[in-house]
Amino acid sequence: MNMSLVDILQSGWIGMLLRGAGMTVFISLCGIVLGTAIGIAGAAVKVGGNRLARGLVGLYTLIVRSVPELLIIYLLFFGTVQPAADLADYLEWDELMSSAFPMLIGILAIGLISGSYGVEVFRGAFKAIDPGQIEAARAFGMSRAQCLRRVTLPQLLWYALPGANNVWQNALKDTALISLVGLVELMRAAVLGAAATREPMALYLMAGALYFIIGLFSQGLFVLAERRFGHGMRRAAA
Amino acid sequence: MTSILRKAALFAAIGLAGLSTAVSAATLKIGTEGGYPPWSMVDASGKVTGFDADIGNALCQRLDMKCRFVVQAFDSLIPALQAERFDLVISGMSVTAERAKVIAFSIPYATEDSAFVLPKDSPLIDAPDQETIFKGLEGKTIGVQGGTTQGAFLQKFAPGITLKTYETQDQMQMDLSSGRLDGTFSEVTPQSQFLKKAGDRQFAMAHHVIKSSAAPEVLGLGIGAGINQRNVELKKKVDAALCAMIADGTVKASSEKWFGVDLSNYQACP
Repeated sequence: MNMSLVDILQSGWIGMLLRGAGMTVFISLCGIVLGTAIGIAGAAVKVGGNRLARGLVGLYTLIVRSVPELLIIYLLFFGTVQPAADLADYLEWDELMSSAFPMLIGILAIGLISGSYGVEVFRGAFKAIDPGQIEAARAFGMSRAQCLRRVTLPQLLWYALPGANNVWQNALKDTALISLVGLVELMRAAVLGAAATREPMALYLMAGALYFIIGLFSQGLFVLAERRFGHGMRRAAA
Repeated sequence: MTSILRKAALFAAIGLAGLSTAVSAATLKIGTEGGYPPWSMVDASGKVTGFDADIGNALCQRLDMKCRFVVQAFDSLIPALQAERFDLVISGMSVTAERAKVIAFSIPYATEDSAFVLPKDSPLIDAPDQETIFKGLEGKTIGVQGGTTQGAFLQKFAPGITLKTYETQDQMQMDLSSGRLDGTFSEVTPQSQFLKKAGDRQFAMAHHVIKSSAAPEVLGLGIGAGINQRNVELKKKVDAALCAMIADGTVKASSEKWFGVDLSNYQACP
């Protein structure tokens, strides 16, 4: 009665899983770009902003980090689905809205979640830069912008890499939660395939392997990035 | 020159308006679970198939609309319908009083009974009524799918049974196969499909099948399509179309194709 692995491979579900994996990577990448922007901006505010702005950023990281990711996704989805539908009706973008909406929510959710962790990662990186270097740069007559571009940012990225790697891996896995609101990414493709083929173990193992491959590949990229940006920096451990 | 431009713009605007109203008016968006064979499932190319897909497609044909299926987890279907993410839910959903508080339902186009799957050697397989089964299962752990009427039914009528709730049918059935459950309670069709696949060696279906009419207040009045309560016009059209589909045998043909039996609810229409 059981399907063999060969049957499953031939049934086309591999293609569906690969398309799902593509969606997972796409959502994670868009989300992490948004999250990095939020993280750097939030960290800059926390380091140098006024009291009100610092308080607002603190409130955001506190709320988003203490509420389960799934709940954030549900709140974003069910909180905006009605106004989004009204807007789409008004603009007559019904078709577009219906297919793009879970994707937008996914990117927004991953961005907000990874951003909240990113704030602390980048704040740590800001703090790790010796203030003496910035004083020296200013004393040489660099403007604030020059100082940011030539002294602060290059070091900031390097110091933030290990923490950012963690945030990225979590973002990658958080995308699985978006499957519950109708986005067919890797996890959802595996669930649908498990039901249709009645071979849950095989499908879930394949999905697990694909997540692992994506994780492994991005891990490699982070190692390369640490080497690349590490030129001329002291080693963290040494 | 300006008048030509203005005319061109006018034509473009008329064309666009015509195009977009033609598309939006003719599309019926249907929410479905996609993970509940043979009611609702998705094939490897992403196409929605199963009994409910047939019902949906036949319905769209009758209403002269274009079908578009939106696949979402079962638990999120009702909130999404309320938020008007789609027009209809067709997903093997039982019509219950609880659900009817928040959404409207079409006529129940199909009915299905529920049954226990238990170890083959259990004496309860031959139990004559539900009271005997409930008594025998006291203190045992039974698996149900989350958000289903079967779970609500056991909670109400057999509080002595420990319930374990699962996201999907296969997670529940895997746990049963690996011995972490004393049995499962679900609709007859997924249960018999599981037995067919498992090869009937370890498990069997209890002969006493529980009819929806035994407790319509929790088990529901049959399977219906969910409709937003504000959409009275659509309910009228859907009801008429479903009645016509029961009468002309469309529902029967799909049911026999997917389940091997006729689940059409002939009592639903006057």
